[in-house]
Amino acid sequence: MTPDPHTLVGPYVLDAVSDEERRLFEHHLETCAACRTESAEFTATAGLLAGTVAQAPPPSLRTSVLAAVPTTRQLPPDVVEITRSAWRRRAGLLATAAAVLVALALGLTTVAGQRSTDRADERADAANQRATRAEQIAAVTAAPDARTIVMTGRSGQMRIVTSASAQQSVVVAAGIEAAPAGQAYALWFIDDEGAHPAGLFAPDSDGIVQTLIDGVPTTKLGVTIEAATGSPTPTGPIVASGTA
Amino acid sequence: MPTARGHLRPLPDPAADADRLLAAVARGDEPAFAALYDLVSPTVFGITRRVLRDPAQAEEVAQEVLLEVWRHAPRHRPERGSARTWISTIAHRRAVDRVRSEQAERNRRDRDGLRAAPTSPDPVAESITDRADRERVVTALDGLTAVQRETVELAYFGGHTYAQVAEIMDLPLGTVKTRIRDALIRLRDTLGVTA
Repeated sequence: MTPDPHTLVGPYVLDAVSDEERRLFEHHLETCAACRTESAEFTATAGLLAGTVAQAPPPSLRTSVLAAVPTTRQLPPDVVEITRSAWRRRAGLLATAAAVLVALALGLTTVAGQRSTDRADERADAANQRATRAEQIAAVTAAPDARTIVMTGRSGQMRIVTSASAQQSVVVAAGIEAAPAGQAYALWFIDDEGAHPAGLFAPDSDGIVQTLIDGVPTTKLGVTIEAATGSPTPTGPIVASGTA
Repeated sequence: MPTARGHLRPLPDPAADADRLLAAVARGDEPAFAALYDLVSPTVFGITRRVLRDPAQAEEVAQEVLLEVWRHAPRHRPERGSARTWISTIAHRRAVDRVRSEQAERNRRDRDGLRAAPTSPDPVAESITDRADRERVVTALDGLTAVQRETVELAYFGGHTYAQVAEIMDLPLGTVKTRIRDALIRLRDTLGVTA
C-alpha cells in the first residue's frame, strides 16, 4: 500500500526516508504547494538542529579541504539566469529578435532539441522550463564569444557551436542517418580526467540535428553510438571527433 | 573575554556573514571560502560526527561536504534558503548517505542519550550570537514532548529511517511520521523560522 505522500514531509526533511520514498515525495512536491511551503520551513528548522552539536574539527580537516580547493572545479552558474539578465541589460526585445534572426540565417530552424539530463541541480527551476528551446539555442549561437568546432568522422561532418559565457553548446548537423533502433548518438567532452557524457541526440526526420547541450568542451570532444538510455563511459563506435 | 566554554569574539551578524561569504565563494573567491570554512566547519563536522560516531569517517564526510559547498556555491540560490541552512542540509544528507551504506555492518539500535547537545571535548570558538542561537534551539528541543523529542533524536541525530525509528520505539509507522511532523511544527513556531 503506498502511503499518502503528504505524511512523509517530516521524515523527508530529516533525511529519515528510503531512497524510494525520497523520490516519491520529491515527485509529490512538484504538484503540492502546501508541502513545498512546509518542506522549506521544516528544512530551515532542521538546519538549526545541526548547530546544537557543533564541534571544533581537527586541524587536518582544514588543511585537506583548503588544499583541494584550488584544483576543484566549481559548477557553472545557472545559465538561464545569466542569459536572461544579459538580455535585459541589452534592452531585451531587440536583442532577442536579432538573435533569432541570426539563428535563422545560420539555417537553424526552431526544432525542439533534446536537453542533456546530466545536471547537478536536481530540482528544475520553473524559469528553466519557461525558456523556449529557440531562445536558449539562439543565446548560444548569437553569443559574442560563440565559436564553432567542426567534428569529422565517418558519418560526415557535425559542428558544435559553443559559448563560454552561456556555458552551453549546440550540436548542429545535416544529412545524419538515424541511429540503429534502441541506440542514440552520444556526445562526450574529453579532458585530462577522461570522457564525460555531455548528452544524447538524434536527427529529425529530415536528418537535421540541432541539440542544446549543457557545458562546453575544453580540450577534445567526440561522438559515439550508445544504447538509447545512455552510458557513463564511451563503449560504442566513434562516429566523429574534434578538438576544442 | 575568554570563558570556560571557549573564546568569545563579537561578530555583527554571523548568519549574514555566511551568506555574504557564500556569494563571494560563488564567484571563485578562495580566501572567502577559507573564512566560510572557519565559520561553518564546526557545524558540519559536529553533525557528521554525531551521526557517524566514528571520527575518521566524520572527517572524511565533512571534507566531502565542504568541497561540495565549494563546487556547488555558484548554483546556490539565496532565495531558496540561507547559506547556513543549505550547508547544514548538505552535511546531514551526506552523513546519512554514508550511514545507510554502512547499515548492514553495524548495530545502530542503541538508544543513547536523549540530550541533543553533548558536552563537547573540543570547545567551539564561537561568537556570542552563535552561542545564543544554539542555546535557543536546545531550549526549543527541551520544550518538545518526550515522544516528539525521541523521534527527532533517533531520526535526525541518529540517522535512522522513520521505519527504523518505529521499530526501535515500538510505535506504528503513522504515529512516528505524525510525531516527527508535530515536533518540526513546534520547533518551527518556537524558533520563529520562516522559509
